[in-house]
Amino acid sequence: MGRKMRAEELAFRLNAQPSLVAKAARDRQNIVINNVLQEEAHADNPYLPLTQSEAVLPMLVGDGLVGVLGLQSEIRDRFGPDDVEIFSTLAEQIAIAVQNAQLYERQTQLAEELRQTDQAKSQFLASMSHELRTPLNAIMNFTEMVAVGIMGPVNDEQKELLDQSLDSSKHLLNLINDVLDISKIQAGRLTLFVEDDVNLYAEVKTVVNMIEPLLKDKPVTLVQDIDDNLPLLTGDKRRIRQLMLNLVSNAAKFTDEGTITLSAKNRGTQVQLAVIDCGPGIVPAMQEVIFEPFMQTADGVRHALGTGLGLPITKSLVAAHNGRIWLESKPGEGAAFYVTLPIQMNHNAKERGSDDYE
Amino acid sequence: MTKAMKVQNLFMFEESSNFVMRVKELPKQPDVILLDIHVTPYDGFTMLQLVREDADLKNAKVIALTASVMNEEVEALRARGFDGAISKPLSVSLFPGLIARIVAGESVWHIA
Repeated sequence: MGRKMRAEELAFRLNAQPSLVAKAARDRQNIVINNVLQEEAHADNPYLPLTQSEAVLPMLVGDGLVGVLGLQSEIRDRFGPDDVEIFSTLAEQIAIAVQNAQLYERQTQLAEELRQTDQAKSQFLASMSHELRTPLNAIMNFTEMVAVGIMGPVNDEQKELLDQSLDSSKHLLNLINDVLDISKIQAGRLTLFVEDDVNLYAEVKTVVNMIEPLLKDKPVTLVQDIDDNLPLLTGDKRRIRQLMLNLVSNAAKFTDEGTITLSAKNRGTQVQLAVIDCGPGIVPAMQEVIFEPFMQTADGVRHALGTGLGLPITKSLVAAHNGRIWLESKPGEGAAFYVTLPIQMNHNAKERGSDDYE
Repeated sequence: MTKAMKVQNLFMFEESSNFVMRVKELPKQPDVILLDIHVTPYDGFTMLQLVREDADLKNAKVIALTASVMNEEVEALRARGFDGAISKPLSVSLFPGLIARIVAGESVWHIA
């Protein structure tokens, strides 16, 4: 009968008169009529003309009204006190069940909305990546072509300005790449391109070549302490290079004199990398915080060269490779960052690195 | 730039019709073939297959030039049998180094 009523879209307004159902809903009290002929407030239900007794019980969960349980019988005096008690309990149970069903439906709806937002995010990241890099690439390409003389001779002054322009472009590209990386990480979208022949010697060499220009104006020496029996690693070449570069360029940023040591040690099933500097060190209170996005130490803010994204990205890249990263530092005594990377990545780890950032 | 790439001869075709025939007409057969994935009438995948089927060309290193920067798509290139990939737009400063490494036999997957 309920389906029939629903099909005909029969619903009771809360202020409907003389509806018992509406009254029960309003008052939140059971209404029991054991002889409908004697009751003025009773309206006949056209689907159940032989009704003699009626019991109407509101279904409540806490303070909330979920609905009304309506019972009609062809027998007069059908609903005694015990019956009402049983049906009241039933009404409570149905209320809970209905509410659960409603919550579940809402949850399913939210999950679908979330999935669509998530997909939109991925597409956005992919196209943003392309849109941002393409014009910057054009700037860098053309500037370089002019600077190296492909378009004709260039005097020293011109070359100097073009080189500075190129430096700024490269810096901008790094910032864009960092922002895109952190976005991917936070969206759980960081994936690795895994190769099984990552040669750490080649990557160390690249990193050293990139850092040495940054140190040429400071009394800082970059020292290498690399085992001569390093195995080939399984991992993402570009990301491994990136994580080393992040650590070494941080060290270069914060060390004004002394040495920076880049070490790589064979530890059997793992390789242990370390970057040790002679900078101001990091106070214990900041040692966990600096791995979070956009957090920098006071010294970092003073230097104002970065985005505060290098370490969080590095942490995610290490995690994606199933490795570990930790810091040992005392204020005034420099900082040592250690990274271990397994030689063989667990294949499940390929898609990790979407670390828990709220 | 050819010197920086450690390359002796460089030939470029602007579109891909009669691709295999034109390659075989070259004075020397190539060691490295760069294929743009998104050209017509034959796309990069079709050309890759044509190269691999040709007795003279099948040992050349075939490198995909792709506009994609997504790992998943480059993985697909690797799975299809390309020996490497370089993403577009090409960087004037990086390109010679990449070619030099490819010529030296390295498998280069340069995705931006």
